[in-house]
Parts: sequence; structure tokens; C-alpha cells
Amino acid sequence: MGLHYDFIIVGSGVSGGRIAGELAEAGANCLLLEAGKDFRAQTFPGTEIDTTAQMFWGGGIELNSDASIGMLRGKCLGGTSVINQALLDRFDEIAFSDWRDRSGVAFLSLEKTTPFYDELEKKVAIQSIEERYRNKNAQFFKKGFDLMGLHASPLRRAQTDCKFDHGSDCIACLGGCPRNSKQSSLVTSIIPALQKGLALMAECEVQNISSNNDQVEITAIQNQKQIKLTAHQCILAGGSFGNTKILFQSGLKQKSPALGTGFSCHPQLMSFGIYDEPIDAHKGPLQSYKSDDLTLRRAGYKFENVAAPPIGTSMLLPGWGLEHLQLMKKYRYLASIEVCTRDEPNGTISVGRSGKIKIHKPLTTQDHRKIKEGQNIIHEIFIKTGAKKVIISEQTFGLHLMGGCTIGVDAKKSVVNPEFELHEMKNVYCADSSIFPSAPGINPSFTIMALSLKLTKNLLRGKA
Amino acid sequence: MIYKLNSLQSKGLNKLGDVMIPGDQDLPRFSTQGYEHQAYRVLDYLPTQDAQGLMLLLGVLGLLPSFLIVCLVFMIEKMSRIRGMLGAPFRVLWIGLKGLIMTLYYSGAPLDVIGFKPFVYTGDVISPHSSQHP
Repeated sequence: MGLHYDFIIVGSGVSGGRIAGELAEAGANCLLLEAGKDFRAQTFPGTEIDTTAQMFWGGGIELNSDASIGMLRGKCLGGTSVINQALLDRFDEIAFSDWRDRSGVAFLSLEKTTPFYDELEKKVAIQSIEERYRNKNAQFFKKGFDLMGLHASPLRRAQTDCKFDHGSDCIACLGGCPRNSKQSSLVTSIIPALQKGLALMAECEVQNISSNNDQVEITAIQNQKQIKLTAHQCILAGGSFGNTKILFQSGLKQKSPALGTGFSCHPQLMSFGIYDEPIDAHKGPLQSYKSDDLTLRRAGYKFENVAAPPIGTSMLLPGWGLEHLQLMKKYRYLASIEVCTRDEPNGTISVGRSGKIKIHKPLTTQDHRKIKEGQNIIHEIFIKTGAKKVIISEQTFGLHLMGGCTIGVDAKKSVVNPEFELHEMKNVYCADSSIFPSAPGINPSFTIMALSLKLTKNLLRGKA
Repeated sequence: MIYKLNSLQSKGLNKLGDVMIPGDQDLPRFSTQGYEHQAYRVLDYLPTQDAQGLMLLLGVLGLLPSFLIVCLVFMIEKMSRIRGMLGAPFRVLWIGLKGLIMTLYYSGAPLDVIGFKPFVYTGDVISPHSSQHP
């Protein structure tokens, strides 16, 4: 005997958590499904080794088919919003106009999205790091930008009451914030919604989904047992990989040829500058500044000051043996900056016979050019600010996984229609990063939240 | 799945670890830290196929003399730089082997030496939320 709900939300990250919270707040009978564990502030693993292993898909990392890009995505209640840096940026018209051109969806505009951004800013605490708390890594970033004649501005971070004056270090919150200062979907939406009756099944992985005009049927595995669930409507919020995998396993590819196409991931690379004085990039606020320069925006890349904990740093620093050990001993003397490129949406996602996701994501000549140009600028920033040596990491990461179920008016070229409903599956909706028509070149979380809020309002009005 | 290294695999892990992290006057050699007893913290959460592949490889490394492991590591690292599908298996190997060693090593005592002591003030946090749910 299965269980029946008004809404079942699959995935609890930036989109799913927000949608579940809004629907539960409105009194709907909702079930939230999450493949990862139900960690809370008191139970986050705490150490880098355990966080990486237990809170990320693939035990830490997933690789594309030629193993040139490592993809990172959260596997826990609250999804990636629990383990990221909670950066909330509004998109600009450069991103939206590209989306409209590709999708034909008129509401994808800054003007139409602004009311949702405004509403979210009343629901989620957003702060920039005060000057007195910015660490030396951030100060060197700003100084370097000033010396280069480039414009940088403070990052907008979803956080509150971090207690920097008591010595808090954001790097510890990469494995979940133990004081719930980070405004993850776990903190802002899910926990309040659970208190209002939201049902939750964690460590529950959806296998497939089917739909008729009346209801949606979901088959999932929890504790090695198959369970059947039904709902009037289902919202897929498992991200590019999660949603695409479920829909492949549900046989949608035959009906919806665009499924799994249009994947992009904002390829990112970190570079390190070694200084004579301690930088302590890991102390205090981890990230304070971003590039905010139209020349760089048009060139297709952006920069942020950033730091990685020791295991991450050891993997980013090239080589092995004594030379590598000497570099690691300089950990406190490393400044680091990442370049994040606006890549072409040329990737594809599919599912192999074993059920494993296959990611084909070659970097184009344009992508390589952007990375190279970005790395050259970072090199110059480090040298101008007094670095004795610059190390360019060769490891590319994808932290923003987008596309695979793109939105559009044409059912042959997209998977989700302008009402956020799948073209070929009634009563199944999607508003997370998997619907992105292309890479915006801007941190995606805030716009995922805005699109999710729009979908929620549609659902509650019964218009969707 | 709970993975426990046998003696050959433990030997392989420590030989590989000492090649990648030989230690110096400040930082200890990999094999002195007993990481063979901590490997489950990584292996248990990897996809089954990846974990079993790594276990097999560690067993093979346990049989090889250290100088051959040096050659192997040197070769895998060089080959991993080849772009495209040709370099793919070497990149997978490199990320797997370097990942296992670095993850274990920089989870322990060396953190104090390199100066990584992250802190979050929780003095004012009183068990903020219940873990209970329906």
C-alpha cells in the first residue's frame, strides 16, 4: 500500500527545500524525498575527510567521461546549499537575454524575476562581509584588482550572526554550519516546514516516475526496500544529474529527445600565490569579494577570493613527494583566487546500464581560452601584490551543474515548458538548475530560488 | 559496506603513502601514522566499483618494491596530463590514488603542523533544532 500526498518534492537543495517550505507553509500535504542523510547542526561530520565522503555524491567527487572535470554536488538534507558558500547574486540582462534567445520563454528577464528576488531577500538573511572582518586573502584580492584597474565588489552571502568577532572561520562551515548561521535551505525552509507538518524521507532514492492525468506515481528505494508513493503533483529538484537520471530511468528520453542535453558547469580553477607573510586564507570569512567588471563579464569569466581546506588544497596543488610536502607546509602563506568561466552548454548527461550517470562534457577552444585568460589575470594580481611564486592548479571543477532538462517553448529542443511542467509528463514540474538553458556566468543559487518561488506560486494558484 | 584492509593492502597503502608523502623534519612519513586503520572513512562511501578497484590496486602495490611504485606514480602522473580520452584512465587513477593518500594524511596530525585549526563559535548555540521528524 503506497502513501499519497498533494505534492512530492524530489531533492531538498536550493530548489526542493525552498518549494517544500513554501508549500508546507501554505498548508499543503507534502512529502520531501532526499537521497542523502538527514544531518543537522549537531550531527554534521565536522572533519574534512568525513564531510567529503559522507556529504557529497560519489564519496566526494564525480568525473566527466574524460576525467578532466571533477563535479561536486551535495548529498544530504538541504543538498548543496548546506555545503556551499551560500553566495546569492542576482542575474543580469546578459544572462537573461541569452536564456530568452535559447528558450523562447518571455518571463526569463531581470524585470520579471526582480519581484521574486525582492521577496526572497525578505525571507533569507543576506550580508556582505564587513571590512573589519575581511581576511588578508580578501584584502590582497581587492588590492590586486585596484592595481589592475579592475572593479571588484563585496559578495552577497546568505548568512547571519556568524560571530566573526568571536573568531569563527567559515571554512569549518563547508561541511555544514554548526551554528546554523549559513542560510541553507535546511535552515531557512526545511526545518521550519517540518515543524508545520512537512513529511520527510531521507536516504530515499527515487528510481522512476510515471504520470497520468490524475496523479504521479513514484518508485523509490529506502533501506534497500522498494516503496511506492503517489501525489497529485511532483516537483523534481534533484539538480541536473538527479533529475536527468530519474527521467532517463523513467523512459522519457524516447519522448523527449532533449533530455540530458545542454549541460554546463561553470568550470572553475584555483590558483595560489605564495607570500613571505602568513595569509591565513582559511581564517574568518572564506570569501568576501568577486569581480564586478563589465570587461571581464563580457570576456566570459569571473573571479572570487577563496580558500580550500587542507585535503582540497593538497589535491589542487600539483605533484607529489617532497616538493608537494614543502608546498603544503606553506599552507598558511597561500593566497588563492578562483576563475570561473561561462562555458558553452555543450555537455550531455546519460545513464549507463549499471545505473551510473555518464557525463560527456568536453571543454571547447573558447572555454580553454577563457580559462587561460583568467589564469593570466590571477597570475598578474599575485605578482603585483608581492607573491614570491604563483601556482596554477591543473584540476578543473564544476560546482554549478546546469541543464539536462532545459526549459523552452519547443518540446523537441527542451524538456520543461514555460509553466515548469515537463512537456511529455503531466503534473511533473521542475524549476532547479537542470532547466537552465545555458551557463549564466553568475552564481546560480539565487535565481534557482527565484524560479522555484515562481513555480510554487503557480502551483498554489493551481495555474501550473 | 565496511571495508577493512588486509595486511597486503595495508602494506600497499603505506608504501604508496611513503612515496607520495615521504615526510621530513616537520611532517611525519605517511606510514608512521596508522592510516591503514582509517581507510574505511574514505572507502566506505565510494561507489562500490571504485572502492573495490582501489582495494585491488593496493593489494598489487603491496607486492611491488618501492622503487617500482615510484616509477608507477611518476608514469601515472605524467600520463594523466594527456588531454582527451587517452589520458582519462590515468587521470582516474591519479585522482583515486592521490586522493586516498592525501585525504587520509591531511585528516590527522599534520594539520597542526601546517596550521589548520578551524573554529566556529557555538558558545551561544543551545541545541537549536530537533532532529525529530515524521
